[in-house]
Amino acid sequence: MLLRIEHVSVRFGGIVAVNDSNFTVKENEITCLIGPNGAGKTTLFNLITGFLTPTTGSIHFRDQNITGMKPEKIVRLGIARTFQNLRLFNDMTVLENMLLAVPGKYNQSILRPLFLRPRLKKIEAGNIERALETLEYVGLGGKAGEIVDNLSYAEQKLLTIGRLLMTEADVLLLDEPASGLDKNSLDRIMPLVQDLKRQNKTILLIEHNMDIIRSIADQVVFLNQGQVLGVGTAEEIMSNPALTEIYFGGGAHHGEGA
Amino acid sequence: MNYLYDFVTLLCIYSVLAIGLNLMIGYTGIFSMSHAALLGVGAYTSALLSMKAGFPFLVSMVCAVIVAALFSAIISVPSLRIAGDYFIVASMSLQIIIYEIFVTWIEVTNGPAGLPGIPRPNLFGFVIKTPQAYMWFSIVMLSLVVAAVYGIIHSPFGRVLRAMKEDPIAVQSLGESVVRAKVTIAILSSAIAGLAGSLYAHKMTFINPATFDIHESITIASMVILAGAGRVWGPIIGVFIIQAFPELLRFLEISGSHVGSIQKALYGLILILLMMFRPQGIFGKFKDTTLGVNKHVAKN
Amino acid sequence: MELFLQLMVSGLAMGSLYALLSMGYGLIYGTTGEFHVAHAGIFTFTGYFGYIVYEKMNLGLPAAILIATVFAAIMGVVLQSAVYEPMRRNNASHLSIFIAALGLMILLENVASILWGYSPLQFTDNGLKKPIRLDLFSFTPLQLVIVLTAAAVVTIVLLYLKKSRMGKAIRGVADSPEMAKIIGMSPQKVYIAVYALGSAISAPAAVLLAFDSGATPYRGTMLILLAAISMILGGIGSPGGAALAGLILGLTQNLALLFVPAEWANIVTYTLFLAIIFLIPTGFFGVKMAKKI
Repeated sequence: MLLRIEHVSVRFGGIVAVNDSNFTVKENEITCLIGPNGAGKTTLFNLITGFLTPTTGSIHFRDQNITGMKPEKIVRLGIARTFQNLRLFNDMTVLENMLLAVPGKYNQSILRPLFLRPRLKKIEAGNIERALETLEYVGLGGKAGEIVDNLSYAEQKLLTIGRLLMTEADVLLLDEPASGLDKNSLDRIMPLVQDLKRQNKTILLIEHNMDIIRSIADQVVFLNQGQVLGVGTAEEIMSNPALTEIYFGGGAHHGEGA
Repeated sequence: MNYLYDFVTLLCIYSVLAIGLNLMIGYTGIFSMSHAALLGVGAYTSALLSMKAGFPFLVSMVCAVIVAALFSAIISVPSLRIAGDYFIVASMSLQIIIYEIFVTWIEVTNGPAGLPGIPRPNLFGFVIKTPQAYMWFSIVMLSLVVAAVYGIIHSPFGRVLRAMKEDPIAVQSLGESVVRAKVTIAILSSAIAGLAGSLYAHKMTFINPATFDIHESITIASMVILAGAGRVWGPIIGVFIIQAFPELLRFLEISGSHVGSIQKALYGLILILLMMFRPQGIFGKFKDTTLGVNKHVAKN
Repeated sequence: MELFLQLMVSGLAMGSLYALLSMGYGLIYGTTGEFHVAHAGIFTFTGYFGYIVYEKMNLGLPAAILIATVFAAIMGVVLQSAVYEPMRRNNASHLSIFIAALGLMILLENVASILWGYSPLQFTDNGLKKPIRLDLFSFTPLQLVIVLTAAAVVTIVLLYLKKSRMGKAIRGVADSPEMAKIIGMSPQKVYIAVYALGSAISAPAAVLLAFDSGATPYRGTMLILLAAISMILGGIGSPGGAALAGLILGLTQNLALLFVPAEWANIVTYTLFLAIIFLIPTGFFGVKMAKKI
């Protein structure tokens, strides 16, 4: 078990956003987190990546207890995420966005830029080369100098994945990668997500699109009102009448996510 | 002519201070109210070590830098973990504490009467004593500081700072610690203030607490805010405008006991108008600078 | 022992004044997130308003306090509507608003000194400052008035915040601006109410302090840091906490004189404060902490 979420709950004031949730994520698999809106999926992402601390319960990564660790530390341990609202640096270029994700000992050094500048430039050149290769891989070759604001929405989504790859994290949490994309764009992104698995990454993604889920998910975790109601393959979950009732009955969105 | 040399010298020294403060306010969005006190820490440290302990000038200067950085670290490390507003209050408190120490610890600082007889800088035998010499010395120091800050801003760290201004959460999600960056900037900025303090003390040869009180902190902050973050050397213009301001008032022949108050009232008004109509200052925002990495892209 | 009791008396009086100053300031910050240091300027001007009503219009102290309070509320509303509201509409950052507030504070303090000079303007004392000597300590009627006024204002305001519709809206906006819309009040109205109320709360302290030691232009500026400290110590988001912390601060400042020479009192107080907030950032009654990064 690569990632274990054990009895995790989080409470805001009077509201319990996540309630005693348990599930595990296996290495080199694609796990999909599904459930109606407001079920707590993004909250779970926030908990796993350290942006929220659980009120009870614990989270373990490679047998290390990462509960309550700072987000930046968790990224360096190997878990990185995207955001539903992308959070790209819109005023900066594609290349700069990529470079900001590089795990570098000298990213915050103030002495090296002054006294060891040539050495720093060499490292930077190496990072730039890797960034350009990665951009090529995600399908943004040639866009390195473009200001993010000028990219199309689909291209911005590809960039979020490119940034994740630059972090060298093994576990990638994707928050609704398919939402807001048309069929053509989906055809650019979804094969990429599947290829990531072939690259030995472990993927946890939040998704609404049932076709996508059926085609790529190794495991599905069904969440409702902060609780894990079922874990299994896509077929198992979708053939459970109680769960489908909640999912399709209570005004949830399905098909193309919004 | 000496008047001009002195004006330029002080312009350079205050520019060093302002460029340092700009790192905090302009580039990182941390407002510090204690920079006059830190200037004072640098000044008193350098002066006392030269006078009482016989340290050579360069050593005193380095110590001034370190001591100022340490004072800042005392509040930066704990308060930047929390939120910017805490830092403002902590830095105000630090300003008052340090100022009161200057005034009260008479055995060491000589209190309000001030410390006279500070020696001139002795650089490997060459003594900088004429106003002209000191002017060139300060110009050199200012250039070094500008070059250093420029180098830091145009580096991976500078890139992190720029991203932090736009979206600190995204920065964290990519594995960089925002708190660490803020603390680094705060300490660097204070170290620069210490350097300016040393330059100031050995120029004036006499220092007293009044130069380092909270009103001075606000004036320095105004210079920085006026200039904005768009250019590393921008604060020099901010300093110039605010230094030249009293001269301007002299032209308008506003007389009597109220000159000081009118001047300060106008500073207040400038801050208000700036914030209402051009908060980014003369030179604009940090994001308006490019950081050079994009040149590499032209090859592809 | 006598010294201790005497210092308790002066500490209580001073603390009561700090309590009102902090509560007003803390209410504004806790609700709006705006570090409105111009509160110091309003505080200073209120002292002068009180002086004018008392000395020039000869209307007696209670009238002076009441009228000055109304002026303070108006001034608070005018300033926030003229300066902060346009900035809010332009999506100004809180840092920008703080700097504007700083500019206002500087402007106001120096306008006051141009209008009325640096020397304190003393109120004519009709006996309120005459000490009443008891066995172990003495106190002045003025000190009694201060403590009672502060207690009354704090109680009334806390009740208002708890029970009234606007009070609830204010507490709601402190949690989120959208909350106000849900209750059916525009956030702008709540801002106006908060600035009016916050300025009004500190007004009696301004007048009484001016009565005690004369109206001066820099009074507010010297005290605003204390108000900010009390607000943090008491817990952001808790006006009652701010008031209590102000009281404790006043007592501490005075009682410190038992142990430390007067010149070192300020240093000791501020250093102690720094140590405490680093240990307990949320303050004693903190409900909300200032936003984390």
